[in-house]
Amino acid sequence: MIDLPLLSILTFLPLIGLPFIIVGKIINAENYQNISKYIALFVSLITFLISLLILYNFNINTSDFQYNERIPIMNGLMTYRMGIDGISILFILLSTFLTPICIIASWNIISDRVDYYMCSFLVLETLMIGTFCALDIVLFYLFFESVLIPMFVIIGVWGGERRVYSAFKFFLYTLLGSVLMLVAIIYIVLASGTTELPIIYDVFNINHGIIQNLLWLAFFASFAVKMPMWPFHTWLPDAHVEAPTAGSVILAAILLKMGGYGFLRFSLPLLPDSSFYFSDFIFILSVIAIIYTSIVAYVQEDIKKLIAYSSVAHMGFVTMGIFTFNINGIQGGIFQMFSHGLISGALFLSVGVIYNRMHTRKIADYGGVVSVMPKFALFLMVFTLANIGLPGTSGFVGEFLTIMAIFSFNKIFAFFAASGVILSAVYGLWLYRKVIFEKITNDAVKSLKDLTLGEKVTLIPLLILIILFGIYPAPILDLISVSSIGLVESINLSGGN
Amino acid sequence: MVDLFESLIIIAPELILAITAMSLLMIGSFYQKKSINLINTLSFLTLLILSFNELIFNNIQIFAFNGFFIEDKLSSFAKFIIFLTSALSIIMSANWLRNYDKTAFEFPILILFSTLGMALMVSANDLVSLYLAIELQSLPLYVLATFNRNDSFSSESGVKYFILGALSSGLLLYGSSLIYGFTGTIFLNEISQLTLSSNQLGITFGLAFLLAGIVFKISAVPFHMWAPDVYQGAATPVTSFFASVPKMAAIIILIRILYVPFDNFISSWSQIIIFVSFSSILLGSVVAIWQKNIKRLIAYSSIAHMGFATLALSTGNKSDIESILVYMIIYIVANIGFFSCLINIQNKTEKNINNISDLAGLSVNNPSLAISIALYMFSFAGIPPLAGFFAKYYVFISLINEGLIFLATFALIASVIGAFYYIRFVKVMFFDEVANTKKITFSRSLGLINSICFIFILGFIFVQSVTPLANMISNATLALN
Repeated sequence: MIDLPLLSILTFLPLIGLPFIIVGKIINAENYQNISKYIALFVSLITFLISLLILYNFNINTSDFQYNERIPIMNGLMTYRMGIDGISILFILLSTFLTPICIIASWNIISDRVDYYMCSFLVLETLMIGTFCALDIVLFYLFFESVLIPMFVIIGVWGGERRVYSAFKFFLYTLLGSVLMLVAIIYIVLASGTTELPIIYDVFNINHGIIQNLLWLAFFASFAVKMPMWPFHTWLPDAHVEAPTAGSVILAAILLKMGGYGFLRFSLPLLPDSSFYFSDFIFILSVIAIIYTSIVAYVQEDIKKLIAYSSVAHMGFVTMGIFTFNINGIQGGIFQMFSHGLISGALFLSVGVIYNRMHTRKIADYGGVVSVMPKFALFLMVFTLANIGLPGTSGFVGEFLTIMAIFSFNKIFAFFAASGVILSAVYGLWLYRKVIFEKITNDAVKSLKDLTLGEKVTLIPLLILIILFGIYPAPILDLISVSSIGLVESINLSGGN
Repeated sequence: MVDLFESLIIIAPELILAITAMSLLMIGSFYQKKSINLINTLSFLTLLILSFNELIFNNIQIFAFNGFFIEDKLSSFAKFIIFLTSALSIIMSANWLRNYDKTAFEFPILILFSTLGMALMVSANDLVSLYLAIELQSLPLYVLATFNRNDSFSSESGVKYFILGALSSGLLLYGSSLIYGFTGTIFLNEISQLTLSSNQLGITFGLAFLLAGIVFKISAVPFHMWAPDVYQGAATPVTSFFASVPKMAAIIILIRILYVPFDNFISSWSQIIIFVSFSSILLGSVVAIWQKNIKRLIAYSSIAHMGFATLALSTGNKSDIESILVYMIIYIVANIGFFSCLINIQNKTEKNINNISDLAGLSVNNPSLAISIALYMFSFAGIPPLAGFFAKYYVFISLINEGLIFLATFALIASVIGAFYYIRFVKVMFFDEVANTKKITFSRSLGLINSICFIFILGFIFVQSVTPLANMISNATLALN
């Protein structure tokens, strides 16, 4: 068992589906669409099972990297080094869990070029898992950046009316952030003489000063765009609105988390002094994000846009939590990322459910959905309440932990952050009332059918997990705690703090 | 010093090439169009054999003909690439030539002569043989540019190329004469010993003129004006040739000129190179945004790429030659791959493919073509894990290692601007909805070339780790130390 390179298998397994899809198309040209769907689903489920196997053999009592693999390639300019700790395995599970759900959610929705679509999702899954597995700074960049290609295609080909604009904006915005990070990565690689992250952690040591600050800002440019933090968030509403449902789910649930993961993996351990130096800056941006984007969310007319802005607001909690340098804050930030992955995924899937029936995302076109779709109304209620952060849902745990950590760090920021919870209730409940309750004004709503089996299959697992981890968050916290403590301990500030 | 007979052996590949070209010319003029297949095959085989010859027999460093000619790992490596790419260019043009008029046989022969010029160019060790080699490679190129003689664009491009090319040769010759005047020698390896004791200003002046002549050949700013018109006007297989092989030869001779005779002048020329490379990147990236014609766009893109390649020269560190060579190889492979797709589309469709919008909806019925072009475009844009990213990665490692962090940052930001027009290809092929595009199959040779390039670009990590390519490049780099 130990000898198998499980992480590599996990990472590259989705790619195995590609030749089968191509062969399936050549063999059975009429029915290739169904074939490619089944292949993609099968492959992604196997991937999920392997990730569970990895979880099963995962040792939660150490903060060291596990499942290490190391092959020197590219003559020292890069090493194929993979390994996971408690933080990365959480995101890997999230990716492998959501990909099959996304494929099921697209089952009857996507009719144009299904084979391309499934291939894009499988490639995307490989790249997402790879990003979280990579323990080589250049390898990480490879995966982190390659995600742009499939996502660009997914938004651009299967998106809404303004898909070209959104795809270009997404692509160029994130690319601009990442190239600055590339400069910082090359600088760090040259300064420490290796590309392997565990060695860089030991070797790389740079006094706090202008260079460390610039390096930090370069990483920040990339992660803040990906996260996204205010004011670098403007690509997100466009991308979300135009992307197909499954694309939005992956974007909100996983791609945004790469930013937070990057802060945890690079900014904090490698550049601790600058991270501390800029923490007030991060807090201010996060508070603006929480309050401003919540207010912006409230005035949206488009359901997806509203959820997109709420994502920006929730990511504000994550960045605040991470930059408290405190075990509660970091755990809260990670938990918040995980739970936001589930909740925002669930919300986008729910929006997809009604969008596929009505082909409109305008809030004004809905109203009174509860009388025709009661089961859907129940699901959406749980997801909305979880998004608000109601106790008993997973949304509460993350926000509670982060606000607690922020309170011990700075009470004024804690006040503003907590007010974000109220604001999220304002727009969340307002959206729920507008869509689900009130009188039916639009005749099209009257003929709506309730959830189909396929939709239930996608929503129920999310519902169960959201409530389960809301009531009993211990499994997740156990998984991440040792690694988070290891992370906090490894941050040694030279500035006497 | 080696005697005449040994010199002839050292220069044997070039002699074989010259003899083959001349005999094929005789065959061609007697049998005309009937001989086109024979001439194509023979010239392809000759180039292929010669390129593998360079791979197998390469010397540490050896001078022939009293120092006119140098054979070292760098020139061998360059010749390997040049011969191989020329051979590929001949196959790529074969289908197009069969439908061409009776003078079609001249095409492979012109390529042979130009290749001969390039081979001599990368082995030139003195200013006179350098000038003669450059002329030998340029004159067939002028003819190739006008090869589509019924097309007024093509004639225009040839004339433009000729006039500007002649001007640049004049500059080169003037620079050479200044350098000869101030140092008293024409041998590159002797100039470096004399530079310190002679008039520095005069030599710098000569160097600037010399550089102007070479920079014209790689079409970098400020001597880039010919490239868009020539690329657009020439027939597509010719453009493919222009965009790949002569650039390699010119970059190699640029490296040799800067690091062998003017090793002591790094502070003078590194500023020139920084200006040339950075302004090429900026101009190539920005101006290409407005281009609608594919070949014009590729011209601006190649200007930007030459900027990136020469960027690694600006460090003035000999070990950074490796980055340039890696960059050039990846650039050439992506170019060949892209043009193999484009030529295939042009061969198989009746209507002309001139503008990017003519590729609309390609992904619907021709997934392999669309995915290949998309891959090359993402590679040009430098998106990992494709080879184009590693090309830039190497260059930026060189730059940051020498402390040129801000130059690196600005160049990377310019590359994001460039990414805009590369992904526009993807947009046109995948996002635009056009019903019923014609289904096109790959012809066997172009399909093979395309799949090799595809695998190279997609799996560059493996190519670099497993194949001896990396070793060859580092050996070539060490040649100048």
